[in-house]
Amino acid sequence: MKDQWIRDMRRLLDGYEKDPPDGLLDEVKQAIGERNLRPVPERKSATWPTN
Amino acid sequence: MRSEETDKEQRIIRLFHQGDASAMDLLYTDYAGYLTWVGFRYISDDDDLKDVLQESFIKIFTCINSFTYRGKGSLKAWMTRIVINESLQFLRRQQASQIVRMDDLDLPDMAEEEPDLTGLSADSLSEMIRHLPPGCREVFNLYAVEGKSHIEIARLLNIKPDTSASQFHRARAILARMIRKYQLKKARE
Repeated sequence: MKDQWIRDMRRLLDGYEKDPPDGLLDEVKQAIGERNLRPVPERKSATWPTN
Repeated sequence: MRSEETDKEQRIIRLFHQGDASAMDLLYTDYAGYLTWVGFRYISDDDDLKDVLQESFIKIFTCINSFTYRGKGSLKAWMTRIVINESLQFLRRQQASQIVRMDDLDLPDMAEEEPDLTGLSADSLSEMIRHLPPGCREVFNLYAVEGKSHIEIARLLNIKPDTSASQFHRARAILARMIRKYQLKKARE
């Protein structure tokens, strides 16, 4: 069947994951702080870490 | 019946809207592995991949308030689009993509060979996809993995649909050769 191999490939790769780079989340959080970004609009009860 | 995926996505969105700091950790724990794989297949250098993923997560965490939940998998699809867009922008900035230059070139005839995936692991296949030449790698991922049409790819990459199709055929032939070489090597071991 035409393009059956594409379907087979998608099936093989379904649910596949790779380990994220070391320290990525910490660097993301640090960059968010350094750029003065906030993950959601500021709210009274927000508990986001500040830099 | 609600699925686990639906519950997971809605819980994460709710936590973000509540301003709960654990939302970032939860989203990361649940999706970092998948999103790393998305970027991995476009970006062949590990340091570059880390940069792309960092920008992607910053965008995800800071724009999630503008995301509207549209049912199961919609958060995952939205995050996937962000990683793909960041990857394509990175490649454009790096001028790594050969696609535009290949618009005016005659592509050599490539065999209409389809990859034979027999005995291949997801690990091996993903490494091969990652090492396709720049240009045709983007087209291959967008067409064969993401399921976009050549017209959609042409719009995304600012190329002609015919070029997208040619690049896909090129990638497919190269991948088929890579797989055959790998299988021969494995058979000799």
